[in-house]
Amino acid sequence: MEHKILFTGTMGAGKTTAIAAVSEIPPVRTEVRNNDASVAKATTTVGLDYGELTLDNGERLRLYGTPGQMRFDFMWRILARGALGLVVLVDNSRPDPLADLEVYLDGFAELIEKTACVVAVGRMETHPEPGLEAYSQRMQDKGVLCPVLPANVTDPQQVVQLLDLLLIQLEA
Amino acid sequence: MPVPGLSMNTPVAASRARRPLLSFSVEGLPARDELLFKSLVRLLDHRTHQHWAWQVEDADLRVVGDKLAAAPPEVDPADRPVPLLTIGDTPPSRGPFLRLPLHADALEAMLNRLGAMVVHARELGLAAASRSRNEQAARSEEYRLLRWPSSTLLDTTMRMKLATLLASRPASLQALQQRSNASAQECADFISALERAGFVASSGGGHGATGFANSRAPESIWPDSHIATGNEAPHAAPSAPRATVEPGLLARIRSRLGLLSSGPRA
Repeated sequence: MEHKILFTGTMGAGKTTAIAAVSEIPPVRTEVRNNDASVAKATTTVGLDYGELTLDNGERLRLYGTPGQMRFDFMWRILARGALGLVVLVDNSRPDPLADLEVYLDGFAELIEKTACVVAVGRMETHPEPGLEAYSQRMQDKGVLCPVLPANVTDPQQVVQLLDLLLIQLEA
Repeated sequence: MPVPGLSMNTPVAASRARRPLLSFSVEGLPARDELLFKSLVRLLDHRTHQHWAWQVEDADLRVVGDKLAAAPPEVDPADRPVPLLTIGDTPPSRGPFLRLPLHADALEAMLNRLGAMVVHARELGLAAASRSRNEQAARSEEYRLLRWPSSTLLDTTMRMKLATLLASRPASLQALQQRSNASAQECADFISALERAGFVASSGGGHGATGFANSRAPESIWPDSHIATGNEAPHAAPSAPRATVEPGLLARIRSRLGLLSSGPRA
């Protein structure tokens, strides 16, 4: 049986870095050809990150970083099937990070409702606004209640903490 | 493990958020003096080491007028003595006393002294308040997180864990304590802080009842043993039955990540 945890977020939010921080293999970046006709560059590719952990019974926990762009949301649905939970990485230095968050809360609404979710906000030390309160409020508006905290995913310990919060929700 | 990104909390804010919640009742004081006393306690709240809240009875501290103080001391149903603070013109033969008119500095010092005693007694399991009827009711009352709390309230890893547990599903103090391995006092203080900040609503028959249905029953305090009845309380968080997780999987993931077990069963 496949066990997986998803990392999602915009390009550059740190999905590959977060997976690399805990994966026992170097993250594999799978290139997926873009078939979206509305995009001029037919050869544009998007990244699907993959890492894994071997559990003590030999089973594998797979860590997937989803393509960030919304036009690949059909892949989000495929990846979300059977996932244990979701880590949403938000880059606070982007123009409208709250809108970014909404995209992923909507795109993964079913997974969030059925499993667990953690929202990790990156680059808050250089871009403190919007603050965590704004995230909490926006999540409440969307009917989502889950941990939201600042995180630097270059620090493996912080990535482990995000996973810990995910597990706590699943255990509750 | 330190909670990342919590540096915005000042030590003062953090220590205030962790203050124990204690209660006091007032008897035998003229209405004006009683009102003045309660007002002064509220005004001193930013200075006292504990957060003091008035309640009608079964409080951690009985504040009595000097005429009433002559009566035999009250004991709670478990025969534990309730600290008595006498206020008036005539000091009692024994016990703490404050003379009228009240002075803020003297009251602050007295509250801190008595508060420390009550907290210490609680830790020793001797305090009446720890067994008061109100507290018993509060322990069975369920608390529902309304939204993710302000980071100033999440200044420790344990508080982050408690909030995460509450975000997942409503819980009573007792259930929260069992699931988190936190102390009863730690859970109660956190819930009090959440209540004061308006991040949590209580359900059940106690004060502030909101009429929410009970959360899933029976309580599942063991990792990997989720039981869904579909009888959830209204909740902003996941309301659909949570996907079943293979038994032992979460513990294996924890082990692989070097995380300690989060539940009571290590």
